[in-house]
Amino acid sequence: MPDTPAIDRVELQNLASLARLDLPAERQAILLHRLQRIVAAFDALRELPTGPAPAGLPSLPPLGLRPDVAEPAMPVAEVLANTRHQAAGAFVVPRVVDG
Amino acid sequence: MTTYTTVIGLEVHVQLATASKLFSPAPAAALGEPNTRVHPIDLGLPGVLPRPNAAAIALAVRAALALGGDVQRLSRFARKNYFYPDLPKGYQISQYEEPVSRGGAVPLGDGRHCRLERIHIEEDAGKLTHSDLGTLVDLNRAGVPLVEIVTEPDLRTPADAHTMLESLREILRFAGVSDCDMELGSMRCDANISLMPVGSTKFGTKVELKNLNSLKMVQRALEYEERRQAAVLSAGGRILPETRGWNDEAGESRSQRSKESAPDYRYFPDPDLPPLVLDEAFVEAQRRALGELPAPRRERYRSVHGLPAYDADVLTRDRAIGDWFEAVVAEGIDAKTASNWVMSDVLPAQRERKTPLAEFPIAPPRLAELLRLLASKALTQVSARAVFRHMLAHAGSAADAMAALGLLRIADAPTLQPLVDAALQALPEAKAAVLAGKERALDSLKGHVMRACKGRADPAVVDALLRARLDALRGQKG
Amino acid sequence: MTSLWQMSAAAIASAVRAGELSAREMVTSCLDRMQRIDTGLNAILGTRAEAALQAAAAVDAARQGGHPLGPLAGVPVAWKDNLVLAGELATAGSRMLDRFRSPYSATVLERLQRAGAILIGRTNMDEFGMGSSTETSAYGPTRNPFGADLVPGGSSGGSAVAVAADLCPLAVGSDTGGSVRQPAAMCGVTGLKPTYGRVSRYGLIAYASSLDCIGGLARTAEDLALWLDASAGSDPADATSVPTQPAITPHLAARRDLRGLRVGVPWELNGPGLDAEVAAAIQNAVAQLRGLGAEIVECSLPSVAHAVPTYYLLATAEASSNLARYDGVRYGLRRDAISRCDAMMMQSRSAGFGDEVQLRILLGTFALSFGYHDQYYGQATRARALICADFARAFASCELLLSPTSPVPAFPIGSHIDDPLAMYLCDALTVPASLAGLPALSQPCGFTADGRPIGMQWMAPALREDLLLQVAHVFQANTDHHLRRPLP
Repeated sequence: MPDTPAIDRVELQNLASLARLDLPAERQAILLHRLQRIVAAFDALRELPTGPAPAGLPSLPPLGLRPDVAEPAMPVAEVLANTRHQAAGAFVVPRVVDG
Repeated sequence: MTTYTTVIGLEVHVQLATASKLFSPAPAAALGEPNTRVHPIDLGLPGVLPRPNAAAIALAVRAALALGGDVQRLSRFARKNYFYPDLPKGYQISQYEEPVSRGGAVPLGDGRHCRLERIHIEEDAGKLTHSDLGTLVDLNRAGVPLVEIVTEPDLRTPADAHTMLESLREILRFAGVSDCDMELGSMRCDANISLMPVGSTKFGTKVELKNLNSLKMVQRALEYEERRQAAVLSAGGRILPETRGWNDEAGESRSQRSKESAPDYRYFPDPDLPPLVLDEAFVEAQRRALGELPAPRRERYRSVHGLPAYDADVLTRDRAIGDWFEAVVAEGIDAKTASNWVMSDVLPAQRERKTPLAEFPIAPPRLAELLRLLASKALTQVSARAVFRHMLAHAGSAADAMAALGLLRIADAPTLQPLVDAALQALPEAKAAVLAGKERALDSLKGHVMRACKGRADPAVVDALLRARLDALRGQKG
Repeated sequence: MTSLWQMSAAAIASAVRAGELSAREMVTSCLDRMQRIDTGLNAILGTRAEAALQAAAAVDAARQGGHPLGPLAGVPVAWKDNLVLAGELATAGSRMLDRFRSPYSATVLERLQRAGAILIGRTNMDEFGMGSSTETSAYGPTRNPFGADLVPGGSSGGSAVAVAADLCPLAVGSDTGGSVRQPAAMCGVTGLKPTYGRVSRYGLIAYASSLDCIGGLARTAEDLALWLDASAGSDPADATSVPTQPAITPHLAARRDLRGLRVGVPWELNGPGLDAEVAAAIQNAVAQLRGLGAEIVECSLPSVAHAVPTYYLLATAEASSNLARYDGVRYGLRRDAISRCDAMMMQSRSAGFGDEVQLRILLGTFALSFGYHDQYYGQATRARALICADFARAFASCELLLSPTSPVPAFPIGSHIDDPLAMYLCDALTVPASLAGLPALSQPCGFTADGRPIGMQWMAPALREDLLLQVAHVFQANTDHHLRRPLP
């Protein structure tokens, strides 16, 4: 069995960045402690045999498909109704920086 | 100096020609004012669920069959998780470990092929535009159905990449999968390129090229990158794994992102969508809908219809042209005549009108009628073209057009005889030349007759009448 | 005469149909009681008095006009605030969606309206369904009518309290790992989690898509049968919905007793770790079931030992993806005056999500992340398959399985909130049926010495809600636990 991969501060920061969460330092300490406890308690799962992982419930029907018929779209005012940040019919966000 | 082998692989995104989006019933036309093609599903509102579009699945399967892919009887949608303001749900629904098709190949035209690794179905993201106000987000394109076609690293030159894309475009247009317009974004291409010393079998470090908005740009960007990498390697340098964006105006690419750390997309099967199970009947229906592909059709036009290679190429440029041509031939018209008219009259007129061939005002049986009149010599080539133009403008049959144009052919001798005599009277030099044995001078006499009756005279009758008069004149002299 | 607010949904609908009771009167009575009682409970996040009275007036007008009325005609229904209704707020208990107003309606709420139900108010819940006590709501905890310092359970705590305190006879909840059953048990009401896919999820603000089920809470099995018949059925808007099943209400009273019924008692769910009073109440219930003719059989679900980690890894992995849409761009809380888009997203999410939601997003991100994906998410998927197989084996030798719903009765507010792991372990008895997608029902089976309700959980094979409801109906006909009302 592999060693328990302890979530450390670096890993927590990586997870926060992947999940787009901005964690103040004092939150980080609490979250780190909680995550470590939870992951340690859940580690028994890794003792189960490995193999191909089935996905989904056996009782689910296969995927049903919708006929290709276009329906009227939402009025633009309704699309934008839940934000103040809009201009020229579009949502507005701050500058997007790649990388 | 070392010489290098270039290794190129392509990832091509093709928009499927559906009426509605992949997982929502909003119209799939990505045009129009911002956010006017949006359903709550495309907006990623709390509580919405995807509703998969049967036509998108059908077209993806058709693309796979057209490219010789192995259609998977069970495939699965997966979530590709990343944040970006053009991605409303914070994940893209795509396929990952279980794509809809594996394998396949695109012919390069000279017996060689570019093998495919896979084809998968996925949804498009929205569009960002940068303005003084900030970045504007338009979700019209969000959710539009795409297939991503991933090649093996089989291409060895930028020209091969160009050929591959042309061939792919032709096949997919033919299959009715997509209009594959790179300028309008319904076909998009990213290219991976690496160099290795000639004779080596170990691929070099690859660089991904993006922002390739036309076939020419693909080739130019690859040529530039080939030169750049060769220069770096020859100088003892190292190629960095990175994404580079092509700037066509500057004629160069610029580094956009280092690929040292791959993004962690945390793929997992989309729990909102059970597995996509395709039964034999569904796949067979798509195979039937696919019909004949361009290469076999070209071959048939050459061997069965006896057309020259040039004609066969033009007529297989898309499926509608060939179908139109065949509809004319089916009316009993000689294939070469039909081909000539389609290429030099129908297609130019259609291009001018900018309408699909299906809406062309002259239906194939109507053109066949015109061509039969031409073959029976009821019309000359010249007046046949006038009839064609009239039919184009007013619809109706060839006979209607001829009546309207007063073009019913004059073939009876008593009507034509005075015109023949008038020609001999009017052109004494020509008459003398013919009598002196210069056969070619006969043409100007015929031309005079034709002009006199606006081209409606039957040339064979005119010829006979002229020769009869001239023979008589020779007799008088002799 | 019983007060209006004490009537069951079935009684209300039949009185409204008979013209003995006006829907308007009924709705007014519920709204009044909410105003009077809920200040101390915080079960209701908002009412739609005007729209509800209009809808009630429409039902009354339809009756006077001689038009047929639906099976839930005039029945006031509260719904958990993670279900969207066009034109109404839907917060999912989160600051993130504080002012979010939905332009479309959940399938289940539309179906209930079509059946004549009057949607009167939105109920409090753990934020995005992430909690077992309704303490993680951004709008303050809901209090248990059986003790103001007690939690009502969660995450559908508001819906359970609405029924327990007689604010309305029927409430809609959602159950991802026990969120209908556990609060039903802690509040002394009956809660049904149907088979996965039996009720469309369209319009349910997702927590964990492969586990989320919309459920109902009521005082009687009969009312839940009415609720399920009105709510269930295949929906083209939900690709995971299962084909429509026959109605249950007509056959609800098919059994007079439990003769011929084999009830499996899996020792893993009835063993150590149970509160002593809970264990005693279950033993007592088992004796009553025997008395009603049921045959009790021992059985085993060996893999449920892994159920809690399996559940939490899968649920949080899916949640980390489902909650990625809350990025401040199109709706929801947004932090202003930030110059970069990614910083705007991060700060908006951190300000909009509460502590438990952030913890679960991080856990789920971990379970899916590079290097850990197969060991955590992958292993949980395999464990889930083993648990499904355990249930299939168990149902070869019995018709239903029985266990306590929660290992403990309602606990004091604030006692578990700083120990998420302890809170997770409280879900051990409800998550197995969730993982297997099976229908399960919790009904009152006793009380602690200090008067806290205790619930027992029935689990059935897929699509056998009919059996669950018939058996629960027989038990209720022979016991009175479900009749105890905490508030006058």
